[in-house]
Amino acid sequence: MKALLLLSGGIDSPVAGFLMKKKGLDLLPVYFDNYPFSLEETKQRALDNAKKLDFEEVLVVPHGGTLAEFMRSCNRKYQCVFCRRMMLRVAECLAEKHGAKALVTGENLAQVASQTLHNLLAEFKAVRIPIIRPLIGFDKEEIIRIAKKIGTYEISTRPVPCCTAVPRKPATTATEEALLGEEEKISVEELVEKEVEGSRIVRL
Amino acid sequence: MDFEIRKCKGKAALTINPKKKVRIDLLEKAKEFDCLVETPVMLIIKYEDMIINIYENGKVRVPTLDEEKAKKIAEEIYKVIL
Repeated sequence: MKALLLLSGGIDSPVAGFLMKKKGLDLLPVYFDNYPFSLEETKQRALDNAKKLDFEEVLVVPHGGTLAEFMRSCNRKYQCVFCRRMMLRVAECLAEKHGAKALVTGENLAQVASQTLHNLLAEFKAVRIPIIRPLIGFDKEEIIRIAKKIGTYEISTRPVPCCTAVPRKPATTATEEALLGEEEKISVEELVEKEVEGSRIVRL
Repeated sequence: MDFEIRKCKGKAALTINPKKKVRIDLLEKAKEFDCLVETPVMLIIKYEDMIINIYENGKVRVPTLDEEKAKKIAEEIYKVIL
């Protein structure tokens, strides 16, 4: 069975990918490029990790324009949760396009603002496709141990400029109701379409 | 303009923060720069082959760890926005 792996430049998603690949899942990694909120070094980290995991290609999706649109019109504190909702929506469309039946993410409960239980619930309500989260109950130390073992830790911890779309005080208890209210201010469908159309395969 | 320089969380960029409280109309100032993103809370501009963030509170983020370079860029930007 095929699934899309949402691969960031961080520690967790490569480990999630490694575990699910070990289980026999056929994965296509997808990198959401937040340029210009994040820079080339962050993308390169993700591509290097994909190569480390023996992937031959990565689907790169232009995500920065979507973040800018939200920043212009909506409540900043929901930026991260919105970002993830949109990634899931776009990934759901790309899954259909590429014959994938599920998404794999590296989410780990309560590690960062977008990953509180409240926020995770608000995020996954944006899509219908099954989401596999192999790391959801892991301790950070366990994830780091695996990352070091598989050789992705050094790549994932290379210093890179942070994503500047993250607000100073991100919401930790977002509700779907609140998010839908914000999303009404922008054209979510158009933004999803634009990202799907702008997606490109990068061969490693 | 008096400011302080700090390293970003990711340890790969510097932020320059004015010591005096300021509020900048970024959309008004956007026309002075080569903008990649224009929002009321943040501009992202191309400046000397770098991607620079300018915030409404006057904070400037420069993706370098060279303090002298970051200081010089911030001073040039502050001449325009303040």
